[in-house]
Amino acid sequence: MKATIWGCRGSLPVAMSAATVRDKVKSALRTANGRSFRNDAELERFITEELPWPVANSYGGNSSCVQIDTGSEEYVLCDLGSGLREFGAAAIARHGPGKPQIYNIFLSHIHWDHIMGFPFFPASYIPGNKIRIYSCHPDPKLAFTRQQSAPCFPVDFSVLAADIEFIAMQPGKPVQVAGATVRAIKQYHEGDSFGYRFEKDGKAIIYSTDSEHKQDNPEAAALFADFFRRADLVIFDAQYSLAETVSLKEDWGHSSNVAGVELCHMAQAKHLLLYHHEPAFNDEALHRIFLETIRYEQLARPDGQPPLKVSSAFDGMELNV
Amino acid sequence: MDVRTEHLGAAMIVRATGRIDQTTAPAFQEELLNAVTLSKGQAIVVDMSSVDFVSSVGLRALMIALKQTQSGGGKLLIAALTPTVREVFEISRFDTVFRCFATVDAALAEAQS
Repeated sequence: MKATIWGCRGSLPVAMSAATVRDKVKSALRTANGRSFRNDAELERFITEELPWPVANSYGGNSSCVQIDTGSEEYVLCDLGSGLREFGAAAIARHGPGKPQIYNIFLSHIHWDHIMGFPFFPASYIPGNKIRIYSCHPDPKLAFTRQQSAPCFPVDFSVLAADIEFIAMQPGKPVQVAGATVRAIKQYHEGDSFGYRFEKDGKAIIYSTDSEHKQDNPEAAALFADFFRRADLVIFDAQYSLAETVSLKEDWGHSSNVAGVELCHMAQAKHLLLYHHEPAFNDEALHRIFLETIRYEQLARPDGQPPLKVSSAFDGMELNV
Repeated sequence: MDVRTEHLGAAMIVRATGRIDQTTAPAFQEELLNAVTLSKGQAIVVDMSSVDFVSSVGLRALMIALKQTQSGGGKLLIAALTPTVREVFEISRFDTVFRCFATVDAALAEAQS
């Protein structure tokens, strides 16, 4: 399977300012220090090997949307944040608008940042496409019709031409979709949220965002460790610091890098992906958190356990499992 | 992990040793909260000089003790973090929540101020 991150940002999409771009250019030119490059390959090598990652790259600013490629012709997505717009454009570019596709979508929950991309999803306007929205919430359609109706949006949900179906799902009752088995787990978040485990050919990807993990609840930790058990990739909400989750932002429904490492250690998962980044953080701040998480993994790793790989999500990132 | 409490002048000192993690944090928390009860507004200094590692549950125990101490008008000060535990405080941002001192003496001086 393969996971592609189309939107890694939490709560609100963000864009890089002109001043930030100029700062990155200045920093790159300073590092180059007047050097000339004979060809693109030399330039690429310089960018990759000599520039700090947050100078040469950006985490991006689209809100939650992840594609799970199961190898099937059918698409599988988690959440419909603003990253969906770019996914939709890429899908149309790949197939052309005239060839109908099947899109299977698993919703963590229906807060705005997780559905706001849907009005900008070209496939929903094209007849013949099938869009199946799996959700454990009782009436997800209500959120879609509200956001896509006057006075919030000029095109009413009811005029969308694709065949759009809402499919009820329940934790503990797996579904078979696009050749994969998908299970859900209820998470602690205002109005509830749900995480998903995708399994195919002995590989497992977890999508678990907008989920607060409390340190005073070992039973819940054990439940999540079971759900994450030996997963090849755990996409994990690490929006806040641990200190924030037990103080100012307690009960705000998000988690931390420290909690992610500890749960993945308990679960003996292979790869933790920090996700749902705080919109107030720039690339340098997110990169610092990434490096600190690698260090915490080293400090906290149980004796005899193999290292847990740690990565930090960026828009456009692709991960094979 | 071992944890003990003693009176020293106008403060109570909670001294922990070893690793504070999922297994040992409940005992650490119990001792901390006992100290909060006994302190009756006196400052509490947590001597971390012999703590090898503290995980999220141990940090949460400190946070609960801090909240209870502050609600009673007292102070809870952290002293003598080992390099590893200082890293954990920085990574978790607990260094922005607690007042940390390089030595127990420095924390006691602040407790008596």
